[in-house]
Amino acid sequence: MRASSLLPVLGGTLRYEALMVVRHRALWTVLVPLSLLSLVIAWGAPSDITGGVRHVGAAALITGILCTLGIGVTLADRFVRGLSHGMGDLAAATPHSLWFRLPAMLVASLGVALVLPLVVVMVCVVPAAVADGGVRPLAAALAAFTTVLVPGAAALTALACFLGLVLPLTLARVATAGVWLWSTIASPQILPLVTPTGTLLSPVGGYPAAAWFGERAVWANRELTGPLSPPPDTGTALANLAVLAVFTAVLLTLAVLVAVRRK
Amino acid sequence: MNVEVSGLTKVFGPGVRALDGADLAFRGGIVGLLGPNGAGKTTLMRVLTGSLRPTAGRVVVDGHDLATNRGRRAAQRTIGYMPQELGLYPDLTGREFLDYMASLKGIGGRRVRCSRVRDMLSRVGLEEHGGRRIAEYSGGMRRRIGIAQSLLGDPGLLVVDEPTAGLDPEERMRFRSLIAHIGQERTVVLGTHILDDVSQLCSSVTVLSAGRPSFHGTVRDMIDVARGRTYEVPVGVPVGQRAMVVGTSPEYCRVVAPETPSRGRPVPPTLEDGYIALMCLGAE
Ligand SMILES: Nc1ncnc2c1ncn2[C@@H]1O[C@H](COP(=O)(O)OP(=O)(O)OP(=O)(O)O)[C@@H](O)[C@H]1O
Ligand SMILES: [Mg+2]
Repeated sequence: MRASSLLPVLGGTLRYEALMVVRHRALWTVLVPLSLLSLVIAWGAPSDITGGVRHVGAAALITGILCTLGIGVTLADRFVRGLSHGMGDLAAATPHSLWFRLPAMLVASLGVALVLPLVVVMVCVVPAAVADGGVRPLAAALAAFTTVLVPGAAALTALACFLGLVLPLTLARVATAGVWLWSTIASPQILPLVTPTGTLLSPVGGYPAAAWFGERAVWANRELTGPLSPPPDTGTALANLAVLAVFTAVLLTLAVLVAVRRK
Repeated sequence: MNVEVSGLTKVFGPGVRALDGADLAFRGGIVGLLGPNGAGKTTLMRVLTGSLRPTAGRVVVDGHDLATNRGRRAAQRTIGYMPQELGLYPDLTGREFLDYMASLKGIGGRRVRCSRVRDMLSRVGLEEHGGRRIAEYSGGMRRRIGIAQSLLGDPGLLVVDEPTAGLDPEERMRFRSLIAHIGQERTVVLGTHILDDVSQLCSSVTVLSAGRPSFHGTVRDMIDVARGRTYEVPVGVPVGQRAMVVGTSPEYCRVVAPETPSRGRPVPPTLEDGYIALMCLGAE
């Protein structure tokens, strides 16, 4: 595709997909209560906070678990609405490439939806900064948001959008919620179930939270041992992020392939 | 702009051959695409615009082979399309939607797009409603937005599928003059069931039946199919088994029949008579 026609495609997709997510009432109906709940759980009085960095790391983790669920479930319709009959035919008759448009759709949708979780984490900086007596938690909060929360949210939303293309929407939403709970909360110690929880494959953000923000290691490996549940450190946290990046890329690729095959 | 179609086949699953080895060529002007429900008109138009891949066969638009990615993109830069089923984004305003479509067509530069969008909104009489959400538009207004988006890239080939369905008479007139104007220099493929639109607008007519062209000619050629086969018969007189009644008045039935019905009086045929004759009796 020529660069001169690629820029308008990317710009238009980012702009209008973001605008449509802003106007997506169901997203806010789900996300506002989840964000408030995250804030209630993640908030702490300065006197109870032992370390500001750890506090914001924990806030990113909790907010991620709750809000990502809402984001994935409500954004499952993003690809299919632009590719199904009617709108799909219109778009398919234009000379753009889905290899650029679908990733741009994901970025735009997530960019808008992640604003509320970001606000929650940033609000949690206030007691952390008071407890620390400095602004170090501010930078830590941004870093925690980016490394703990965003990668899992990107992977789950890519999965949701892909499932929305291949399954009826309601089923895709239910499956998305199921996958999220299964891969973040359903611990093998509680349920006799094979799950990615407690391994490098989990999107919960436990490895970066434990490696870089002083969170308890239990969030990363759930006290499991084995090649997929190493102790959290910088190397394993990076490996976890790499796994999530690969998941996201693979799901996007599958979505594009499905969309192209549909034609 | 030339469009060449050869051996075009589209199979949608076991037993559904929407296109069945169709060969066609369009060389400028406004072509009316007619045919009964399910004949394959929409499928053909989707394939022509590159939005649907054929199972077999070849489509070449302005020298670009749609089978290759490069050829398809090059062709799509000059194609405007209005599908039969319009599913616009309801949560955008008309203006935002057109700007988004213009971006997908690769029309660069905010200013250029803005002025194109403004121009298109006024061409379809929606300049006052451009700021309203599409969800609040009436069915006819949505079709007008559909027409507007098809014209955004100043297309050399315009493919419009039942564009006037649901338009009020005034809008239908406006649309006709718009298409007549565009058809002076470009190729327009107009899929429709409204024969009035065809007789007013089209230089040639293609009829699809069961996925293949069963007729191609001028509007006059099509009318001629019913010449000598169109009659007025007094109401109450039996018209014969093979005659098709195409209209009735208090005194007369208008019929298209292979031979003169008793007390039948030959009358000059219309395009509708020609179409009925073609569909029911064949082309002679
Ligand atoms: N996506 C699809 N999946 C399965 N079958 C399809 C699909 N699209 C069209 N068909 C079938 O292909 C045939 C041709 O359909 P098409 O929509 O092209 O007809 P048409 O001439 O446009 O009809 P109409 O005048 O009703 O719009 C029909 O038998 C239809 O059922
Ligand atoms: Mg049709």
